[in-house]
Amino acid sequence: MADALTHPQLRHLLRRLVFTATPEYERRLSGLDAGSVFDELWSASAVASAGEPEPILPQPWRNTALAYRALETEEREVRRAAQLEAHRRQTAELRAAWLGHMIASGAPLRENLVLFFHGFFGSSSTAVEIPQALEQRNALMRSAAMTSMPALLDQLVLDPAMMIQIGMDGHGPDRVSDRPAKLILEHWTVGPGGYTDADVGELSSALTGWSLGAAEGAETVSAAELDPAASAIERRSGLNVRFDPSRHESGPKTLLGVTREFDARSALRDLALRPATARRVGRALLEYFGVVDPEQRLADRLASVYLETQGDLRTLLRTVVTSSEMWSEASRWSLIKSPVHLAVAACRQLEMANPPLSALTGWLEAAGQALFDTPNNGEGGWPGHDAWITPPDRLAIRYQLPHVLAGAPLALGLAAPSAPRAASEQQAEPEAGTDRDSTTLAAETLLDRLDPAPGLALDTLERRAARYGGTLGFAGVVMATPHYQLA
Amino acid sequence: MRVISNALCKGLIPAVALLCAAGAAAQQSVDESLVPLQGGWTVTAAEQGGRPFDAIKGGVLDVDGEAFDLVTASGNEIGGVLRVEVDAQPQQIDFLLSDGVVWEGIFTVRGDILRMNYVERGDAERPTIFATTSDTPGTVIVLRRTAAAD
Repeated sequence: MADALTHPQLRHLLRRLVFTATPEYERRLSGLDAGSVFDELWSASAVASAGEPEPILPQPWRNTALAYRALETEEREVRRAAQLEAHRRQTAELRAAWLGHMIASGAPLRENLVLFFHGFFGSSSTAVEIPQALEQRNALMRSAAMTSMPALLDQLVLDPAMMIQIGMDGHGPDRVSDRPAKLILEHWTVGPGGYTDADVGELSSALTGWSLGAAEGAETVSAAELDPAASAIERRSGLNVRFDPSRHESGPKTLLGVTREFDARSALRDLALRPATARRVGRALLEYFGVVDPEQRLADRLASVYLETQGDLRTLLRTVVTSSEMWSEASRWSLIKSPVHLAVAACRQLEMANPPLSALTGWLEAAGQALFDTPNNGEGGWPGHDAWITPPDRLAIRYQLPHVLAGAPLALGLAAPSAPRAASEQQAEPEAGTDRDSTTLAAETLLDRLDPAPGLALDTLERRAARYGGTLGFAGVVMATPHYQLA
Repeated sequence: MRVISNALCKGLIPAVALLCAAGAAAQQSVDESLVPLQGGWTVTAAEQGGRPFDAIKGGVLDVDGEAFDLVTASGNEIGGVLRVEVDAQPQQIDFLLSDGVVWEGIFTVRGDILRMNYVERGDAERPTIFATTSDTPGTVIVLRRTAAAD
């Protein structure tokens, strides 16, 4: 795909990589080939500060509901209830802020990758509960998403949110479960069938020694001061990652046939470079970016590229973008937009200056994609594809998106679509060279901006839109079509 | 599985039971495979469905020979006999409850820590790892030794 992209091809690529095409991107990237477009988008995301957006929550997290033995039960319950309410509110703020960043960010490819990894590794705001930890993990993913899989895994295994989510906090010789190892093998790296029960035990041993404690300089709380029967969060003093050699099971471990003195980070780096991980990551990228690969040829090539480049994410994604499979007819309009993609695309297309983020995050949850909450308590990601419209009421919820957006001020400045034309006018095609009336052009422009799959008749849409009126009325009619659900 | 001989004594006529008891007394020893399990244990942590299962913390298990007595955190008493297969990898354990229910599991003893993962026979296959997830059955429990064997 070394030729300059046609307009439809450029739009296809932008839909997949950065949620949607926008006039600005189309102007900037017109005349470039697929690889160059990708390079531009990647560079724009890479130069954006990994520290953006600024944290919105007070850091570091302090536990206001520690279960001190000295406290009356009633007082403890009051504190815990207040903490739960604060966490709930802050998590809602965090969801809205992330969605807002996806809509407005100058690094949309990076945000799309953060969303991809969010689904790949899984997330649970219930298991983690602490919104500061979730915010910290997103910041980590923003910086690591532009590097490589080994680098990402190396950091993720000692990320506080992930440690809590998979049960690695305090993982030592007296551990309850080998669940962290099971989840890492099953969902983060080699995947089902790529490991044995013995590997679970060996990796579990390698993961020992790490825990979360009070931040440096913060007031420390001795375990003896706390109720041993209290829940984990009521005994958590902070999110500072610490290593205690006395709780690490040293000595050689055999992981997938290789025997070394593995610890958590070296084990994850090793697993990241296994062929089974390479294949799994490649397949996940193809699924996420909607590339149909019936012969598995691209999947094979991606696995090779992954191993040759040690999981370099830029090279992997560039290989996808420049493959013939990306541009095949089968791959075009084959992807059912996730609820997040649907919402972000709509807001970007309509250039909404102040989208109703809180209402949108509620809609996302109803549509099956609450940010920070993948299914099964964060064990793995969203199934995607048909699951976005199954059961059928999911589709009905998706069609409600225009109502959620209604009321938000638009910056687009397009004229409202015209009232329905007479039947004779509706059927008459304009003669070549004849100017069409301005309201029809406005609707045409808007339809073009919304970029639905081909097949929608403008005059049919206009007739439906006449009931609602205004730019959003017309956009709403387009959004509530099957064509708009596809990318 | 090494069948626990004491189980055979139960329900037999008193004379035979006496003979059994006498025989057991004469041996004055526990099956070697059961030695690491002897004594009292307290449940310190548990996991079910990939989540902490704190409701059973505090339960107490006593193992005496092949017989076990479990007092759950909610105060229920459960008794029966144990069978173990120490040559299996991981080691296997069955709790034959006196009401006929069987818990099938795996176990490991390291110092004063006993770790198990078990299911009820008929509900699922015997676990093979010490972990549960949202879509796998089993209950992983960790017990700390509280009393040595007599």
